Amino acid sequence: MDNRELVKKLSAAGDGDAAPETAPVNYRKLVVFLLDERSYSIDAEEVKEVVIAQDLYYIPFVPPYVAGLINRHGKPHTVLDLKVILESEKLAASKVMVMNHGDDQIAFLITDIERIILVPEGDVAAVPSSEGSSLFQGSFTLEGREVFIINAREVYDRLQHDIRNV
Amino acid sequence: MISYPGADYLVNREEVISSIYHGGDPYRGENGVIGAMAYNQKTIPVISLDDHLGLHFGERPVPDREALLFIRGSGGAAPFPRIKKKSDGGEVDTSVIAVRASGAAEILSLPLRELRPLPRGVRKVLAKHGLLAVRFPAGRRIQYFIDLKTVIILSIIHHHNRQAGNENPDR
Repeated sequence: MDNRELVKKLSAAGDGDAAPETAPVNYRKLVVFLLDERSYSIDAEEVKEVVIAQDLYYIPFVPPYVAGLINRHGKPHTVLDLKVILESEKLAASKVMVMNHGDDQIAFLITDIERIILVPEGDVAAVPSSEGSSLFQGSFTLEGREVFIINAREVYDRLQHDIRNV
Repeated sequence: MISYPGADYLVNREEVISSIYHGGDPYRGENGVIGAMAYNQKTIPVISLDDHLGLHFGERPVPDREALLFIRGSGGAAPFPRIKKKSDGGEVDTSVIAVRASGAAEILSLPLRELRPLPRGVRKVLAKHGLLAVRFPAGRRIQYFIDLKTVIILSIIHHHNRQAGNENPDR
């Protein structure tokens, strides 16, 4: 391509700056956490804090994925075992993510926090519709692994639905 | 407060008319929930708190100990279900209910602020089952504040359902 052709192409591309315009990249800040060996994630703004739950107190009349209550600054928090919901197995762990959920006190039992990351919105893929997929807002690839993003709202709604039918 | 190996159970002292400690087991045999007994020239039902806590909280009875708590029964806002005597088909008087508990009972004065309401998402359902609040005393124990009247009603309903199942095993 000689210079004349080059100039022609540049003109055809428009009169703007030389660099092509790019859409601004939106990022999602996600907390990646482990349920045993498997990684899941959740929007960071949903998480208030991560603590070690020394004692998990039993409560009756609740769905099987309610692991019990913890005492957090004198306030009881309902602890949900996501592994029961997602993989139908109980998680043996003692860390919890205390969630931001209005005036309810809810925490998720986890094995550990893996990392906090920024993921470009464009890298989040929709989860194919299938049973249980509403529990996920999407997924992204992290070091070759597919990591699902938990839909916290759906988890809370599920608790409200299931607890009425226990 | 009634203490079991797993946890303590708090009940409102105002619901309890009186209590006695007792040994032995003279109450089984007459029909009721787990039995019936004479009280002030009436035949009143005996409910087992141990059974309720065993069924729902996994508690085990404390051996060689037993208290009977006498609770104000029907006449309140929520009347108790009727209980018929097997012997003559008449009704057991439910104006007073005896609650049998093997846990160690003691009277405590607690500021109301020490009772913590349950998380909102589970509060209504647990209240329907008689679990109203919790308390976290010093140490690593939990105390459940239970509504004895709800526990009694649930025990009677459970008893009726079990009897209906026995009478109609195909259902």
